[in-house]
Amino acid sequence: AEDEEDWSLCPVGDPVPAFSDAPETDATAADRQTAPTDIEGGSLSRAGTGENIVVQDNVRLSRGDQFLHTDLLSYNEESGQYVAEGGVRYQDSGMRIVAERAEGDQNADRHSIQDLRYQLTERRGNGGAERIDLHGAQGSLVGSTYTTCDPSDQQWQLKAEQIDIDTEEGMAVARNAVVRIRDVPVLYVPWFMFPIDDRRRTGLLYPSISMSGRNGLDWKQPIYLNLAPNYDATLTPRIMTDRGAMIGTEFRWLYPEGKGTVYGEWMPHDKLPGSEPDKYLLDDNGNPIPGARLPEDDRGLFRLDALHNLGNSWFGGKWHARANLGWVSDTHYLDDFSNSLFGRSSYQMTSTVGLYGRGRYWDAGLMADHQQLTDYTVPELNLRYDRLPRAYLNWSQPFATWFEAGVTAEAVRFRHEVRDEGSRLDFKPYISMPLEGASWFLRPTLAWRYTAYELDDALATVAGERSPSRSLPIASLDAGVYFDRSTTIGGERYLHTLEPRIYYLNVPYRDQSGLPRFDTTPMTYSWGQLFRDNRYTGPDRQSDANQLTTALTTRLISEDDGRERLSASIGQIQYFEDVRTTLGNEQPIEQGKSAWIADVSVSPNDRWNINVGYQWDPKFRGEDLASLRLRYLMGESGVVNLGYRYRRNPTTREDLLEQVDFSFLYPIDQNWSVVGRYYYSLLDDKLLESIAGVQWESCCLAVRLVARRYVRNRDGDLDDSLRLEFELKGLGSAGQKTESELRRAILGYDRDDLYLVPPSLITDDYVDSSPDPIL
Amino acid sequence: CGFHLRNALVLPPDLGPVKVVSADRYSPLAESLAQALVRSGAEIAPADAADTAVLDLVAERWGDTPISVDARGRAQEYSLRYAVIFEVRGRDGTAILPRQAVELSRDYISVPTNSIGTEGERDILVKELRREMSASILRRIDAVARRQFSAAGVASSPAATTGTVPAAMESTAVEPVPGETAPEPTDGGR
Amino acid sequence: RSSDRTKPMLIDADNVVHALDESQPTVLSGNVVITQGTLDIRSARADVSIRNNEPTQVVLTGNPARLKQEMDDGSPFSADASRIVYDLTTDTVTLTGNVTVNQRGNTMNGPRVVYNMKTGRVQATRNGTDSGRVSMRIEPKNPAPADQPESD
Repeated sequence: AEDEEDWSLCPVGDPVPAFSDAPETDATAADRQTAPTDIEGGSLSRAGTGENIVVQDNVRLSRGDQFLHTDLLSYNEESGQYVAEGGVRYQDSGMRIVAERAEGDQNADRHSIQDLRYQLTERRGNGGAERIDLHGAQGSLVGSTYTTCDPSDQQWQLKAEQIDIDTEEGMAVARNAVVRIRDVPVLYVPWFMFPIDDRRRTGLLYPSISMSGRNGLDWKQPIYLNLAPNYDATLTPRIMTDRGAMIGTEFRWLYPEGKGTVYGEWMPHDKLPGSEPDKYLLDDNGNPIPGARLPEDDRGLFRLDALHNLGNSWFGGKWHARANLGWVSDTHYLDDFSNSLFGRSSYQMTSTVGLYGRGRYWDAGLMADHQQLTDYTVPELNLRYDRLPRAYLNWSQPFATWFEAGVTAEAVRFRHEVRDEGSRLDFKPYISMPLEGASWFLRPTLAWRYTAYELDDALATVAGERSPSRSLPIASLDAGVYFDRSTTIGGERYLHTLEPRIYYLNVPYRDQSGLPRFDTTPMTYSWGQLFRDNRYTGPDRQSDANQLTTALTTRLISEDDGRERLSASIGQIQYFEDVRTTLGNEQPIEQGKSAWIADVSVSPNDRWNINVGYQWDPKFRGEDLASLRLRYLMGESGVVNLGYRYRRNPTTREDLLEQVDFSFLYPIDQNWSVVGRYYYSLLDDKLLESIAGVQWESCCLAVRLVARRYVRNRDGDLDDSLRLEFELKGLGSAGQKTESELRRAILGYDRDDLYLVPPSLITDDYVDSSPDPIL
Repeated sequence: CGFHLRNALVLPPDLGPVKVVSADRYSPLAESLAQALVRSGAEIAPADAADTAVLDLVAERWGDTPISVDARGRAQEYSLRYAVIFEVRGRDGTAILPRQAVELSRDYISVPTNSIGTEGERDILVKELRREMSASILRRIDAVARRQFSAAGVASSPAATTGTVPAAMESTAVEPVPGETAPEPTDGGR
Repeated sequence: RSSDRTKPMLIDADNVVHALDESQPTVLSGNVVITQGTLDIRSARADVSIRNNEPTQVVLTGNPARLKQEMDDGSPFSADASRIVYDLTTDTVTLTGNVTVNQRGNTMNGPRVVYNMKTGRVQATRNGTDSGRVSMRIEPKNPAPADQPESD
């Protein structure tokens, strides 16, 4: 949905108020030639036939959508020529004008008005001009100004030698224009097209000007190209004074069966690497990286995301093809070009192409993916395997009323630049008997997992054979009971539930030490892990088990809207035998109790939201995880977040992270709001990101000043950047708004950022839903 | 202390046959919700049936955002978030359950120097979040239906058939979950 | 048309009161119809002043009184008003009382209009102290096919 300009802060009246005496009409410029002209006045006289009629005293002339009021009108019936003197007020479907003198030719529909003030009926665009020459729906203002501010509060103004306005097309072109903010000239543009109504329109978007230690003055001027109803593009020329010029372009297309976006950035020559060569040529401890060269020329990024629904349905399911491709020119690119901590935290770029199908009881796919390293601090060795190709099938179906059977199968060819390669087949059929009553469930499941490999030489020697395999049964029993009661707390009726649950898992031990590790790692120890039949994420390791999980969940569900006001869970695994399957340098898990897992989430009302996660390991008598997240929504658009996270690395038992994150957006009043963030790592005793920003917003101008320090590069040094942004409301195209980008850049600048599906979107009818998880 | 075994999932009294509609025809969530409704005594109408009650999955959204970075600014913990906008409309189009959103999230580690295999965890979390979402939505329908019952003066919801009813679908039993966690504040923009 | 003057003037009315001498006007009343060449007058009452056997002034009153005539260039002229004074010597018509003048497709209304048939001179103003306004409608050169203005 197009985001409309927010004029809520503007005074109610129009810069040029509507003329009360103008007749109501929804005629347009086109009707003028065929509509009669009505003139009305205090007195009318004509010297003779063919002479001008002179009408005086509060004269009103109207024709189609045109209305003219003047003190004296001299009009020639034959030629249509007229002159209006004194108290001239002109209005048509496109604009309203107040002036001293006007003349023109009604038959040719040409008018010329001097020393005028005007307002466009759409979008509050108004200003003055020495002269306007109107012809039908087009008008050209000579020596004119344009703004969307109210005359009483002139925040910014576009002063131009000439502004050509076309109210039919909703476009205006200014020539030799100077943009002044509070009469300080800010921008000179020889030619500048801008929209004068809210239709999606080719045109310049808001220029975004920012300063940073790394880029110097950073000036981006996005140009929105509304090529066709179902495809459009945005070109973004960008100049960074300390580095050079670059061009970004994004092309979006939509068609009945699918949609797609292509995005590309290209910088012919970047001066940054030259100014800090060591960062590119030397490794962490200062010795030169063999074969490293300065990435100064042809730096760029490419991204493609396309989806195509295949009409036909094979095997009774719906298929679609999808491609997500990404490429960067060098491993320093993301580090050097993104300006937010979030933007540069990823370290590899995955490109995936695949055919995916889904039926009633199954989903399957044939795909391939490739990883590109985008972070110079991560060695190539740590990069994930490429899966060229991968075929998978998940199928499960109820049958014979009591049972349910299914299979998960996957065949993959693993490729890697550095690591040894091979291919793997994993086949896991299962049968289960899901019994269920209103207040209980019992679900025994028996599965058999068969995994076989075809290994290249190096891995074959480790495994002792070229095609090792492993097969073992997996038995599990999942059971739970639900207890309810109604209570009233604080006058509100709640449903209070108590839900004990047990999960027994039994898997025999198989020696898997020789098996390769293609795509497997221990799962994050979490609530979900209590009820899973494998400790590892992939088939390369199937953990042995003789364990019983006991867990309890309690909830307070409000009876009037069904929302959970409180939910608390606690659980633990009892290992009856040692768990001997390990991966890498893991230690086997001794018999005994696992760490306690506790999760509590409380939201007493819609403003407060508190989440606590805690894991305590009795064996080591220490915490594995302690996380607190607190969020308070203030007033209409204010928000305060407070977060503390401590996590221990499960395998090495060392501290992984201990961080505090405080952020807020506080609207002081209608115009002023402040935003801030303080994200500090206690473990490394180091600031990760701090933001201080202030925004002043008025009827027609928004000014944002944001100072930020964040971890700029992998060596952990911080970069200060000062970002000043002017948003001249109404001057940019309605196609795209930089404000949403800035919203992304500053955490929680807009409350909607906190939600995956912002509340403001829920009432919106058109909501696009992504069928598959983002690959 | 007042606890009793839970009664059957309660459905609004005059619901009649329900069809589960989703932007994506074969959305697994729609499928598991349909199964769960069947088990609680509702009758599932075919997708093209007219003037029946509708459970409309307006939108499903996924998000995978880093929630913590290491000293060198590299993401090491992610939060997989899954949100669904849904509403329940009666036969005559009136909203039994007004349009609302449920947002769930699960965290997982993906340390830069050891990120092999973490996408496998993500796929498992996707399946679990879908089951959890189905349970969350059912709990909301149940809560609203209970209120309608108590509003309609019915002492307690009708006794369900207490016999064992085979669960027709892979375990879509209404499992206890750690509840709707607040969404992660995203760490700034792309 | 200025040639109307040479045409015979026909007068028809329910009753006619002739004055003895020329100092009193002849008063016609009741469905008065006066025609002379292209001139066509209809009114409830008409006071015709005559001097040396020539009508010099006609004062028409009616609800409304109507005067029609063809201009020298053939274009029709018609006027309605509650009181019309037609001064034949100066060819000037003075209309008062919700006046409607229709000439060359344009209609004009107002409390008081003075119209010189020969020169085309027009003067439309307020009638004394009342607050009436003058208005005029000029038809478009190429009227929309749909609403063809029906002529009087």
